[in-house]
Amino acid sequence: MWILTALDFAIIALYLAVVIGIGWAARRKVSTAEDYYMGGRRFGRAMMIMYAFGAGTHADNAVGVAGQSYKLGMTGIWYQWILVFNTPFFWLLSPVFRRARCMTTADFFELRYGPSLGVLYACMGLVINWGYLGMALLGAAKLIEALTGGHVSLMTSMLLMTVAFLSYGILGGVVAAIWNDFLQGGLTILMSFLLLPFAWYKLGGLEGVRASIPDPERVFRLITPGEIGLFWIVATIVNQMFSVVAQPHIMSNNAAGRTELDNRIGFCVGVTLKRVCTVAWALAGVLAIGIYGPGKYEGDHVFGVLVRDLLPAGFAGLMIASIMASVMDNGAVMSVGSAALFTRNILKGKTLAPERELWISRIFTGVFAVGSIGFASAVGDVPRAIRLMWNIVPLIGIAFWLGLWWRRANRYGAWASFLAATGTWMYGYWGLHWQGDAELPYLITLYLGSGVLAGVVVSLLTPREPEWLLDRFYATIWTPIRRDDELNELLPLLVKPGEVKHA
Amino acid sequence: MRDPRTGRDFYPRLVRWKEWEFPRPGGEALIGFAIACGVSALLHAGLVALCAWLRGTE
Repeated sequence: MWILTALDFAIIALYLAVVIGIGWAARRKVSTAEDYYMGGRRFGRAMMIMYAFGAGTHADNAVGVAGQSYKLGMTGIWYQWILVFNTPFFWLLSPVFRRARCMTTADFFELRYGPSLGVLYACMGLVINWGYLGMALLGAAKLIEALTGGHVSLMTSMLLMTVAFLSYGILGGVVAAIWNDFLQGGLTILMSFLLLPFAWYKLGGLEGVRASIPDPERVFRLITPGEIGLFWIVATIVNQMFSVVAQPHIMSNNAAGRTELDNRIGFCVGVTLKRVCTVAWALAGVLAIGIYGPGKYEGDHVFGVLVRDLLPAGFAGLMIASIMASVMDNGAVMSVGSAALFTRNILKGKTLAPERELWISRIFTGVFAVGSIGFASAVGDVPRAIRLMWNIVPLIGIAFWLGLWWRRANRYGAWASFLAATGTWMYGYWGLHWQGDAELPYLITLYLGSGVLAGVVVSLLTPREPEWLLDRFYATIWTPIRRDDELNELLPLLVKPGEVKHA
Repeated sequence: MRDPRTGRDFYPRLVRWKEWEFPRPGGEALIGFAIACGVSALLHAGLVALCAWLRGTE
């Protein structure tokens, strides 16, 4: 049994005091809803890098990758490594979010397809954020439970983290989240690499690692035929392109920076930094095979057990603070993002007085975060939850891509793509029981294929969107921010036929 | 899309297909894309090399 020392408690208390202090300081920067959701779009590259890294990295990533690597060997890294191949495309994609000149992704859907798709996306966005935050809270709470030998229960640590991130997120919105990400991102990197030297030393260096791991030829391969093979990798890479555009926090990740280049560099470098940490998580899982032997622990517990057994007592508080940091920065970003979706796109906050909208957002931030604890309690094992989220998120992403590139795509096609993808996913997941790694690429092919097909066919069979609306959308989305003046001259000319054109 | 003031495309297009809106990427997009491809390739090559080293087959 392992008990925290006074030094560990002191480190955790100091960390909590600093992040809450940052939230209090940030509240002075928030006077409008745009400040709350987008931080006034005034952040530079360093902040945007840590924001993208922090918002996309949480303890359940480490738990999931280490757990899968403990089970499958280095192939477990693919759970997070796939995005290494998506990153160059993110460079091209990033300006789309800034150029949309929107505050939420639901605004983007509304701009392209009209209000019904805006509300649909807002509802899906809330479900997605709920799922991600629930997974992050659960992953961190499991780690802390393992670390403290069960002295801190799952519910206690989830409540503590939620209260902490709410105390600064409600006050400071995205400003507080981004400032805290700068600190918390550093702690997350520390969490990722802290274990490795201790595990390496425990096994006796390279020779010890090779000697203690049974069948190193298989464990250190990046392909496991029948589980994670080439088809799995290609299907999940394609799936991620549909998934990334549908994640609500991606809008502020790519639009809160000062310039398009700041947003691009921030997002791509932040995402790449996460891939580097992924190597450390996978290695930790593989080294656990050497330390404990295969199959002794459940995958979800491996990272926590390693921390408990390997780190000296002085490091434990630091590790717990790092784990909390990795979740709390997410919690703040997702709660604020969800408040934006609820207030602007479901309540239609654009018609509310700015101060009223800000306060409704703050209240919903709290309601959402507390609700996510309930969601976390219902989630099962972390890798299964990751696969589930991989399936749910892209269902709405198909309409995003169709609308971005294909002028003929319309609101009926967008609805059809979502409904067809959701229906076929449900059939594959529950009807055919395609719930494991081996079936994942077939499931992805089924729902993405049927979603794209339904979107195209229904769009072709139903009336087009009005040309002037399409022109407004494409002019906005493809005009760089530095050419705002040109766009402002053009938009008044793109109006419904018969309406007065203001030159 | 056509600019109503000039009757020409508002932005240069990558393909001339009627219903498709692919703008031609600028210099920043192309250079950044190439750099990101290089970094991703390096990262993956590093991972493959690390696995080979740990297997003892480097």
